Amino acid sequence: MHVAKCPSCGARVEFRSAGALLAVCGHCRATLLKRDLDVENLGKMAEVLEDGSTLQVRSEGRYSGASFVVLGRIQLQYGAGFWNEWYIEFADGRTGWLSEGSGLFYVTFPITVEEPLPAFADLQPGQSLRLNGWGFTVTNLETARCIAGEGELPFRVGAGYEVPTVDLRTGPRFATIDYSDAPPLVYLGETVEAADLALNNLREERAWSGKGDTAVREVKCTHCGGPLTLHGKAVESIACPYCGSVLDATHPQLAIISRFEGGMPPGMCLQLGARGKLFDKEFDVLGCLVREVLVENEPYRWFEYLLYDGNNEFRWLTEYDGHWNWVKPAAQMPSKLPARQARYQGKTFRGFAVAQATVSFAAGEFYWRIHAGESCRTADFIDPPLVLSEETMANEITWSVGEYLEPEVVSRAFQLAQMPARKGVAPNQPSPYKGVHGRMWKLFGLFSLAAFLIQLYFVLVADNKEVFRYGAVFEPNEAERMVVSDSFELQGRPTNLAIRQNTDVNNSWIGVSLLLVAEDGKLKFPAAREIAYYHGNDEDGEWTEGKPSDEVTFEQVPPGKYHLEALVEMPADARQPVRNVFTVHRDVPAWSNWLLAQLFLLLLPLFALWKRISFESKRWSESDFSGESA
Amino acid sequence: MIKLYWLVGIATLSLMSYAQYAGWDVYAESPMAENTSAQYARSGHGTSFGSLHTFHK
Repeated sequence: MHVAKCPSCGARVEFRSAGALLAVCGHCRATLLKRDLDVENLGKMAEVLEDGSTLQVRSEGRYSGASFVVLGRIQLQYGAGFWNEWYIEFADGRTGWLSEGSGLFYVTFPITVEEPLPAFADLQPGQSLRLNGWGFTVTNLETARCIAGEGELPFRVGAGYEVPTVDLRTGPRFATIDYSDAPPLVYLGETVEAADLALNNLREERAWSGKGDTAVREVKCTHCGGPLTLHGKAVESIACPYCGSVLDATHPQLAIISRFEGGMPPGMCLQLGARGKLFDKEFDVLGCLVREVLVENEPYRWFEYLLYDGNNEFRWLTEYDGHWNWVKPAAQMPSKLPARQARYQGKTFRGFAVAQATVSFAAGEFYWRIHAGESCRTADFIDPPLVLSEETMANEITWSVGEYLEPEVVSRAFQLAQMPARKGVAPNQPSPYKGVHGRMWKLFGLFSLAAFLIQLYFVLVADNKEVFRYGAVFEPNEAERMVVSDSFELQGRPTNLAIRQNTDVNNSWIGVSLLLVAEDGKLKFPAAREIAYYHGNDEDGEWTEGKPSDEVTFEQVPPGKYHLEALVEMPADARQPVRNVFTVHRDVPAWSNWLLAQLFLLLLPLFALWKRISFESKRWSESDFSGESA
Repeated sequence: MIKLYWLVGIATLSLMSYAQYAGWDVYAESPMAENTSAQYARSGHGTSFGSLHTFHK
């Protein structure tokens, strides 16, 4: 560690990092450049602006198993606000940068790249760029201005210098190109969730907090005098719900920077300042955006509520037609696939809609400078219950991931007595029939197997025994076409009985009217059968039609003494007698009950399938790509 | 719906088992109704047919 005495105020100034070239005196803000033996005073550094970050110089954390400490920061301002780049040093002496944005952290390290870099002016959002072999997508282009610095820094820096920067992402990887130097400086790293950094020694004062916090300031709208609140120092703009004026929250007189026409449309469910508990965390409603898209000149409007947990985590709750989504920034850069698909964290999302969305009204506080009429191109990809949304602006592409929330979850969280009624099917609304449908088919398989085993049992135990055989010859003359068989005895429980006929019908037919008669006179079983058998040869070869045999089954035939009666009808030109052998079989295997059971078991799964298809049809009827849905 | 399907499934299997045991068969022919039997008995044919041509047609 190098220790110096501030030439301006005499205070002790430490250069803890060997890589630090510059340090800002904590007492007088003199900017001190490290020399071999002493330090050079470059003049006073501007005060850093208070913001919502909980990080501070000397904050500590862990990344990839290595601990680090925050040594210093530079503060950069751009069109929509400002951000910090925190200079960090790891225990092993490596140094890197930590920045924050939209609830995510970005850890980067300086690298040298093999590929030639395009000029800043030649880049645009969505463009592909290769860095050391990795394919990146340009997600943000800004010309920021350094406005302040503190602590130790690895290079000479002063307030006011311009920093054209490009952000690039691919999957979890993140890169920044700083075009303020020649050649440009490239930093490579990845996006990290706050929880994964295990940060400690953070600022005690929370810039954002909820009700009961003395830090919440009451202010008045510069335009209409309406009462407004200002929750934290990181608020960049306040939108007045009464007159639509957008105020610059960082300006001492809350200068008006933009103005929305009209007022808040009906349907805003969550009030500004409301607190609710979602996913075991308390969130405050800071702001509400009303966004709309025009489809065939018809406006479709939805509400987006900005929530904050008071600990560096912003979330959005969106509501459209009574459907709610819990939205957060995508931790990784999704990749776009062919056929309007996107892939994110191992899941494939299907393209659902593209639109030009405009902010038509806003109320409350926002961490960026909001402007009336802000517009961007949105593209939604779905994998219920998730929705991936890509928003493309002139200089930026952002991705967020939303999860469908049941309205009851929101009403319970914010204790809302009334909620808008749900209309239609939301793009990412989970189908209530999806799981049911799958489980039902599994159950069908189980029942079907059980039915087959039961059937197999009855087939194996069936007697299928021939109990009577009777042969008869039917003459062509009508008087001799009827026979009555001998008697035979059926025994056992009431069960089925099959009468099989084997005839010598040849290129002819007979109609047989059969009657199984119980000799006690109580029951008769009639059946009318036709036996036809034709065969021959033609240009295609041998052919046959029909067969000379037949089988008919009678159900629930009780035991007892029976006989058969048969009356035969023949063609008018019949000349030959027909021989017919009747065999009676008791307790034959029957498959009709098994078949009926199968059909009956299919009814509910088919109903569930129909419900599922109908639900998906409703979902995709609202899509821009409904014709392509499967 | 899953609970309902369990009920439907078990009921179907039970009914199928009973139908198999009792010899029910939808493809099978049933006994003739009482009054029809009576008509046949009164036909005086010496057999139970009566006018079987009509029956067959």
